[in-house]
Amino acid sequence: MEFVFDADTYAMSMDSKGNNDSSQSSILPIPSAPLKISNFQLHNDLTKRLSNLRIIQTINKGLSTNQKDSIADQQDVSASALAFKYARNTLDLLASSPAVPTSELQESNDLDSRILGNRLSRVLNQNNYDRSLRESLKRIPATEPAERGDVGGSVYRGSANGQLVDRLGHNLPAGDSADSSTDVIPASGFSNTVGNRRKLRGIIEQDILSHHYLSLRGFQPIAEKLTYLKNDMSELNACYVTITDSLNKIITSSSSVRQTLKQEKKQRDLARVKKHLLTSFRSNFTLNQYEEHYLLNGEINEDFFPILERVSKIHDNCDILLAMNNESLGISIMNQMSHTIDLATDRMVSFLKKNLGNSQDAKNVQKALTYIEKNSIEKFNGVVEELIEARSREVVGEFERQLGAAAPADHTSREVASAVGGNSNTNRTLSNFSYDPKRFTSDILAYLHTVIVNELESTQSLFPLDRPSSIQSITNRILDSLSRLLRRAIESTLRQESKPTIVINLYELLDLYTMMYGKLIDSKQSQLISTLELLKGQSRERLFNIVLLKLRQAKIDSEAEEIDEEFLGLPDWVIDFYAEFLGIFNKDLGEEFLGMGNDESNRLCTQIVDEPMKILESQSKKLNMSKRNKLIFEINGIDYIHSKVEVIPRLLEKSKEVNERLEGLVKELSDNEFDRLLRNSGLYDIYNLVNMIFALEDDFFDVSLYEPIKENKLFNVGTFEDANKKLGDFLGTYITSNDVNNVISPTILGEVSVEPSVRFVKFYGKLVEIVRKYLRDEKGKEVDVFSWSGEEVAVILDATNELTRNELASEASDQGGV
Amino acid sequence: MLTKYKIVFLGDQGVGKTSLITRFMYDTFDSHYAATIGIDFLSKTMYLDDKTIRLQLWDTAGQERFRSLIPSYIRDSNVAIVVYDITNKDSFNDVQKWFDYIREERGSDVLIVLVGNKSDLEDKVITSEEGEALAKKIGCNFFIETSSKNGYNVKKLFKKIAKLLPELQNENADRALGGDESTNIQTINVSAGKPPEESLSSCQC
Repeated sequence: MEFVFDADTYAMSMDSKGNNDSSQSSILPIPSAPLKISNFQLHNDLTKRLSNLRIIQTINKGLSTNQKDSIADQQDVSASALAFKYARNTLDLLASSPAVPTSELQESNDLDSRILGNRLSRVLNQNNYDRSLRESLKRIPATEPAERGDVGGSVYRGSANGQLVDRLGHNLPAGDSADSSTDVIPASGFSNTVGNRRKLRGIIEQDILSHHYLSLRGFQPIAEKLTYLKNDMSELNACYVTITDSLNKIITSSSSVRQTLKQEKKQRDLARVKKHLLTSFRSNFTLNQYEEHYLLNGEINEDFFPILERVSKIHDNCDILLAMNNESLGISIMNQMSHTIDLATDRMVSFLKKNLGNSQDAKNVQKALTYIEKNSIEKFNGVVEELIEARSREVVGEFERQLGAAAPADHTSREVASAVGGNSNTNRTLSNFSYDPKRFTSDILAYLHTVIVNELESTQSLFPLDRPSSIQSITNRILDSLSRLLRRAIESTLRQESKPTIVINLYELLDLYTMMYGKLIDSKQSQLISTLELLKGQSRERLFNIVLLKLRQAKIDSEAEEIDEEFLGLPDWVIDFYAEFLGIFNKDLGEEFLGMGNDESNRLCTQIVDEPMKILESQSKKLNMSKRNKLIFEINGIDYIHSKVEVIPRLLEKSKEVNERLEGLVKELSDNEFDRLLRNSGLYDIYNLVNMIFALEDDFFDVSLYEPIKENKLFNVGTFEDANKKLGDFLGTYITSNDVNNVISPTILGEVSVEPSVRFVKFYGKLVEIVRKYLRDEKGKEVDVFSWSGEEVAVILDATNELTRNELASEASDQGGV
Repeated sequence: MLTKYKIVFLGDQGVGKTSLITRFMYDTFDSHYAATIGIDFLSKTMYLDDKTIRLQLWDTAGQERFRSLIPSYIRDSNVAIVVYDITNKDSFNDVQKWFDYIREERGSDVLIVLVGNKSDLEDKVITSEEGEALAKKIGCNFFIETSSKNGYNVKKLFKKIAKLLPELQNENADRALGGDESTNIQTINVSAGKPPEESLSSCQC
């Protein structure tokens, strides 16, 4: 009979009871799971399984160290105590089993049988089960009843209780084993107590022992194998101990080496840090030889500037070094970098001075300029000055060549010419048109227009675009150098020009180009534009000079000119003067004539209108001819001036002045002609006499007013007979006379011819009435002294039409008055 | 060094010289007319193949009162563009006069281009054939019809000019600038329907 403690079964049975003694279960440790024979792989898993075997563990523990002996002893003691507890527990279990109802026990037995049956079937169905196990199983008596079940042909082994009951059955009388077993158990009471109990205890102890024996026997092959492995394991353990000892020795002996290694490692790390620091320092604070060489000797190109930038960065980074306790390193590096920057800057300055002129390498030039401006404003200003000087020299040289004032252009000038005009092949210069002042000036100004554009673009290519004021300033200064030559060229042209219309054209060109240049360059700062403004002023002055010169010449001419009295035509100088000067007013030059103010404008008008009239008057006075002819001469001249001036809007005011002067002269001539009529007719004294009594010019006439004339000695028959005779003679020749026919203007001619005649006819008619009323002969009779009637005189003097018109007008006015 | 070329625009008043330049420079068009006073200047860098050139554009005034200024600008120009209005017969008739100005100042040492502008307008009075014929007759380097309003052929005009410029053309320059003028004309076919403006991939203008 075997006893196998099955923890699973036990646990299940305990669960099925539901209320097992919790104190016991808590005190007793849960037994370790039995060795699962079915999964036991002898060949593959031996060592692995062995490690889990408590026996082996115990062996290992025993082999491990002597130091653990005490612990092992304690464990043995505890194991014995544990075995004792198990035994007692088993006994308690057995003791409590009668209290379990039969049905429940049967169910528990069935359950246990099923579980054990399953386990056995699993074990026995394996191919590689242990032979010893088969032998062990064979030992189990095949006396089990069929109802206990054969599973897979194997012998059924019941539960521990069942086996125990069987064992008890063998020793008791035959009968139902179940009932017999209950009978074997001593009943309560003193009679069966001692003997039966001792007997039962012996049976139980024997059964337990045999059961343990059988259990232990199952482990025998394993123990044999373990024994077999024991030697190897011992050797292995010995090797392990040896190796461990050796290692310990080595470790002990190499501790100094390790220490040294540790220190070396620290030193190495330190060295690495130092190396890194130094490398960083070198990269951040020093230049390599190549970089240094490139800065000091290399070409200034695209590679140059990154190195230079690095130098600047190092210089800036020195602030970090200066913040350290020892600042001497920082100062030293800063000085070194400053020196390098200075040398590099000097090299760039030299480079710029060489390359600014031809702008071959504009990109690098621009970079260099930007750098120098940023780092050294003095040097930048120096470079800019150099640039301005170089460009000025070139543009001036080329301008001189264009003006024909310089020697043939050198190579540089030709390059400039190419840049300016894009065509260096042309041999045509500005001087080719010097004979044509207008074209010459136009070419000069157009050329400068091109130069301005090119210089602006060149400067813009050199300097950053975000500084338009600097570009303007530099361009202005370059272009200012052309001012002197421009002024000289235009002044010369103006000086030589004597035609006022050309001067006006030159002024217009200067004015237009001032506007056009002003679109490109800053007018306020540009000396070139100031020069243009100056030249515009000179143009105006030149115009005044030309006018003055012409007037002076006219005066001379007027004095020398002989005027034919028979024709009294226009003096040539007047015709020439106005033919030349009136052209300047033909163009619409805006409100301000040539940019003149009112004073200048009035001065010009005075010179062009008043001065010629004065010369004409002077000339007229100096003429050796009659007053009437002088007047006619002067009237002819002034009328000509008026006719020219009145059509020019700008001279409107002057035209009025001229007209007033002309009207005055015409009036004077008319009066002169009336006097002549009176004198020639012998009525001059009578006219004065009559006028002394009452003015005849008034429209009002009453003959009685003139009665006092009788008292005058002149008022006699002889006087009037002489007058009649003279009048007859005069009227006889008047038609053929052409005294005023030299007046050129038909209007003025009519005026100076008719108006005196009308006046004379009117006077004559009134005089006839006065004579008729108051003149008497010695006998006191009325005397008819005038042989010419008023109508006859009017017809002869060609005043009929005018008189008729006057009468009609007078009647009309009278009727209107009424 | 950036090579600069001077291009002078000639033609009667109102033919669209300024508009043509504005379209080329800024790709815009202003329908409001404003007469040019004197001479205006604009410049533009053209990137053509592996070359970079700078075109200086001189816009002349068409008004008679500014006529005297123009010869001074023709005298040192590399290219003269004579513009006429295809709806204005008088402007076409005056082309010969402008051509005479150019020849008087520059002889044959200049590229001359005849441009018929305002091709977008319906009331066309000068046909493309007439323009081509005149270009051949007076010895222009090429003839092209353009529209400043819609940009038709404007970029092509300047690209064509750039390719004819001496430095870019090398051996073709001689043919372009001299030689038999009758065989020197390069005519762009404008009789077909207006194609979309050709893309100037290499021209970043």
